[in-house]
Amino acid sequence: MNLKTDRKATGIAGGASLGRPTGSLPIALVIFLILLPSALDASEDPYFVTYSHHLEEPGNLEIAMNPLLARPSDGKSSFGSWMEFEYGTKAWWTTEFYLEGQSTHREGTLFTGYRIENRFRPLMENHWINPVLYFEFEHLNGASKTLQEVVGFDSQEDLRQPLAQTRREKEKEMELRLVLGSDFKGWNLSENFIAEKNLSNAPWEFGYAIGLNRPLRLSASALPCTFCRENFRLGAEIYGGLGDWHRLTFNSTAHYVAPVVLWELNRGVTAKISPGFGLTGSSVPFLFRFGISFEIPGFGQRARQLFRQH
Amino acid sequence: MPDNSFDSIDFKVSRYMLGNSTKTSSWWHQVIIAILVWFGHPGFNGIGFPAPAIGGRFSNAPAGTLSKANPYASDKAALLAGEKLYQRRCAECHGRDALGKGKAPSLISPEVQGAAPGALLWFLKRGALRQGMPAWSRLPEQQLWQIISYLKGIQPTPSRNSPAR
Repeated sequence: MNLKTDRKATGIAGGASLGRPTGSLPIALVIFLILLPSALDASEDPYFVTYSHHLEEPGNLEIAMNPLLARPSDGKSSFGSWMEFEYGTKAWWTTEFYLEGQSTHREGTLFTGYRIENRFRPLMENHWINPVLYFEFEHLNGASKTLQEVVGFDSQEDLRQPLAQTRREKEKEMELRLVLGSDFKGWNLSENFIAEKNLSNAPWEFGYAIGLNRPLRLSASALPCTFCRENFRLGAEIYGGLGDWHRLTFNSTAHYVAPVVLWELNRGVTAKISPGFGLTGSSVPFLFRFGISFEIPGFGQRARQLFRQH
Repeated sequence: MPDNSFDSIDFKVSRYMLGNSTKTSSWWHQVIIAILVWFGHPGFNGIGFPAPAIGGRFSNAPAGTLSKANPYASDKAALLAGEKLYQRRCAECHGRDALGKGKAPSLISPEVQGAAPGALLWFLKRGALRQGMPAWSRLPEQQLWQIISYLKGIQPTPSRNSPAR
């Protein structure tokens, strides 16, 4: 099959092959973020897979890039990345849009699809445990390697498949999560119960993610600083699959444990890294995630003003 | 040969969800109805209900929280830290001078200045999502006390933009 026919056959999620690797994009984004002035500091969570009950502040827009390096045993190294636009619609409602891409060593680079996600807090005040309802629609192809969640029997075998084959697999999926979060004495504990369904009559697949983190220092220092301990959060997350509707099990599923470190820089920029370690034979032995995000305060208000002026 | 195009899949999904499988259909309907009832119920405060006065919120603070004393009450370094935190976390909505901005109320109003520090801590941790006030339980309690130190140090006159030191 020639490239033109291939693109047509693979549709939106499968055909947008990029000429250059996405590796330069994070660097450009970092420079862009550092140059942009802002007085607001982000209040991000350090997790990559786990969601906490903390939503985006209303009217703020957060733009984030989260690359992932993975190397399955006996497989080729791959570089997956997602770009995230998170907007605080209300204090109780956050909406997100993701664009995903990946690059596999000696195979190529391509756009792998998009996700739209909404999170709602059904209770209007904070409690000792706080539920969040999460709804996501994904339109991806099989070449997606961002591992934003691990569900069902997802395994490192998925990453070993050649790009030419996986890019043709189209996946329209719905993901639901029940997010539970608690804050206690500076610690944040978050638990996610994940249910995902490929809309083409596939069974529900289940997964979990649990995260725990704490700032290095609980009180703030009097003077502005970049390297103060209060600007760093340390923690860990564990996540994995739980089988599917027909077989709810730990057997043949992938599980990971990943320490996480977050650093809140000035001007609303947050950086985080997380080396992840596979715990079972189905897991990728080692993952390395890093992310950088930038928060634009009052984005909604500014956008509204812009439209009112015209 | 099976037709695996997206259109065909969409049709199958619709049929699967709405037509052929009565069990799945009723399950979905129940979930959707439950969500609509929850978010449409007057008890849910997310959509279109007027905001009560901020002072009224503090009067709802549990008695146990009112007696909590600010451990940083007379700490000048904490006041400076509180100002830094305020400018980072709160100024975007409440204004850099805490006089209020848009729907966000002034924090040098008599209601806020007269509230017990423990009531302010309770309110900051609890939030009022309906009025657009996030729950700041994500910040450690020490930092919330530092913010309260700063807020309590602001003189309740509109012309003052900086706290008394």
